[in-house]
Amino acid sequence: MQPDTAPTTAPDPDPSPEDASTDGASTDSEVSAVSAPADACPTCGEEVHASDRWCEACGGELDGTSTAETIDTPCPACGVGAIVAGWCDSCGVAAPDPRDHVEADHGTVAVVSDVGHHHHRNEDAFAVHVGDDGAAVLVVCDGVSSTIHPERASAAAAEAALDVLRATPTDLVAAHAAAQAAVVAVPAPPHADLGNPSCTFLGASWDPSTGLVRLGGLGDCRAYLVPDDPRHDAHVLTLDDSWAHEAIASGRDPELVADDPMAEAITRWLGRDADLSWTPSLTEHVVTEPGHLVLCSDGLWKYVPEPAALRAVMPDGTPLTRAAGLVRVALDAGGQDNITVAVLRVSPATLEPTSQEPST
Amino acid sequence: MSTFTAAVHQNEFLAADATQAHAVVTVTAPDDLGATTQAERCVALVVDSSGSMSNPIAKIHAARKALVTAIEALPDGTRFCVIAGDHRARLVYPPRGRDMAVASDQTRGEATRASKDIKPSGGTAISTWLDLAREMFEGYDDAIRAAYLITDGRNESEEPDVLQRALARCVGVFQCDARGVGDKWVVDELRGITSALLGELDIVKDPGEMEADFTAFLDRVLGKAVREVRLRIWNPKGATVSHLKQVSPSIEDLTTAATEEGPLARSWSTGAWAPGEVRDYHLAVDVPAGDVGQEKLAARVTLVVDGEDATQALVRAIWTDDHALTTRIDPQVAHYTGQADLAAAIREGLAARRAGDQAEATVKLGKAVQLAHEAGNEGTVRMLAKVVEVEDPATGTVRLRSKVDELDEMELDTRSTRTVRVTATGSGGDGSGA
Repeated sequence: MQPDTAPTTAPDPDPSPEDASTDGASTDSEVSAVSAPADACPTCGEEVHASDRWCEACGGELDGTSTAETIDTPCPACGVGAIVAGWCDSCGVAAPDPRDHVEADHGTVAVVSDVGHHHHRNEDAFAVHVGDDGAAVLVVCDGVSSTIHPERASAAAAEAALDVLRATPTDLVAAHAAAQAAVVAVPAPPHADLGNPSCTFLGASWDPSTGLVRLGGLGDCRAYLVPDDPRHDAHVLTLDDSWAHEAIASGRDPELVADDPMAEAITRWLGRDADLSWTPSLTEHVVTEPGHLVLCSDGLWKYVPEPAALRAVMPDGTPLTRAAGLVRVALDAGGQDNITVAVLRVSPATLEPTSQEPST
Repeated sequence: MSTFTAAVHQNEFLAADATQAHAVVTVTAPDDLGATTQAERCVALVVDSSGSMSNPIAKIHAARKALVTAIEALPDGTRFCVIAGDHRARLVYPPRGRDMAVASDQTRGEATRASKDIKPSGGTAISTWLDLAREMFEGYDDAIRAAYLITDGRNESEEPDVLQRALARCVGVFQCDARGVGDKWVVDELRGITSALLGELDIVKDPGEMEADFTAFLDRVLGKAVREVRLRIWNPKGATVSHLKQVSPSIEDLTTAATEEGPLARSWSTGAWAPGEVRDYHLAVDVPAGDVGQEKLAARVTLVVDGEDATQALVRAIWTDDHALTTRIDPQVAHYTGQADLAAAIREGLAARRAGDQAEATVKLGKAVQLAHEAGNEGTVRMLAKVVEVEDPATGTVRLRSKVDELDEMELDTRSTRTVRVTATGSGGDGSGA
């Protein structure tokens, strides 16, 4: 399934008690599917569906001409033309991508993703599901910019992983395997310089009845735990699969490592070039006091890597306020990369699930 | 019937101050093109009957023989005419009037007899030949219209601008392949004809080769399945086509041959196509500078097949401050830029040699050898080697030959614009064509 081209809206802040899920790549369309004749891919000639953004056979981009969808408001860039089939028919600017800014608010869990100031597209993707009992599963994936179509990789990975976690919330290994398979299957044209579509992966599962956080990841998305009590330190729950981390772990001087141009290179990822023996690093954490779990892509933590620094800039309030606030911090600091921040309200398991008072 | 494809090859990433987007567009005709329609074909065979064609007499004999062979190969129903040209043009067959003949046993027989009567005398004024052909082609607008013109000498009986004006009248009416036989004709004169009239230029070194060449022309025309494919290029406001060149199978600069189609679009004819044909085009678009992170269309390319919009392809521009992305050159763009440099180096080298500037000729032709070698254009290396002694193709170290067969020099000049394609396993091929 390919991301929808319809403009996105923030989902209902009062989700139905049944079920609430969103992913930060496709949203339920508010525009009824345009029934148009099947079209042919201009690159390879194979049949494509009217609403596809790319060809499933060769990976070539499609301009969605067959939908001939026109948006009524004038072009946001020039104010003169209309956005037709994905492009302004006067100044040629690309239609705003719904993925450029996505917010998902499920009360106790909120996720905000933003394209940032420098990238032309948001290669981060997320998927989240919150059950009526408050249990949540969440996936954040960061496309590797030096590969071809990383945004397709991250969207496919997040969606595939979430499907597994919704069925079996504790099986992060299976979620990773599904995500890896989905990324391998992403169609993309061969490219002389850019590698196969690739992305990082961080899956999380939160069970309020047991107070347990389970994490599984490959790459450099991070999870932080920030207790409400300011006397207790915040800390990072994950370990980056980055050259810097591995160098420091093997005994090299952290200061020299930090200055090395290789420092930020990730050492594990999802995709056709991934080593099949890689399994996600798994962590389990029992929550002993109320606080917030923050999952984020490096678009945020590059600016506030230390847990204390992240805590210092996170605003108080609902998970949505906190997530949106942290994204704003990254944007104000430069927004060099795509930014995705998920905030989950967590507390210790109690016999009364509704009690949120901090224990003394 | 399946559709044409238009695959775009480009590095879409531009640095913040960059204002030109480049792309190679590969257009491929489907293998079943024309399977459900039968296009009508009109053919004009135009033969030089000037006095020089009797010197040696073998030339006119070969021309007559080649004409007869071609006429006998015309399928029933093909419309055709035969024109003999000197300082005037004469309709050899059909005997009179403005309508083309329709090929049948009878008309083929009559045309053959008339062709055997062509007698060489007089000068050469090619504009008259083209004008007569144009009159014969007019009225068959829905047919595939192709002329084959062969001459042995300079267009000596008229001023150049007379020929230019005739060419302008013929654009859009018919396509014209041109051949120069021997070494007394002028490459640039015939290139002017084939460039304007979307035809193929080549040398026929020996009159004995004429028959095969006429037949090959006929095969090509009979193989065409659509009358005209146009490239329509739409640019957003502020952007404009800087150049459009066909780069495969040969280099042709199409830029100035555009037809305006409204304030934001222009279109170019690419003539008739056969099933399975592949041609590459290099498009450069001047774009206004953009903001980092912005993505815009530089061009929308639409293939218009016999008047109907078919495939569309997009040329994008994405502005970024990531040097790793902007410093890449798309391999197809790099390859054809190199092939264009090669054609220019040959042209300049031969011009320097003719002007007696040996040093310049050596430098340019040496560079040509180097470029041809790098691109795997073995055919062109072989042609160059008849004009220069190649010491080291990798570095382009060459020496001008003191004795060069004029025919070899003209062959190199004529075929200098032939290119090789980039294949999946790397570039390579025989740049000399079939």
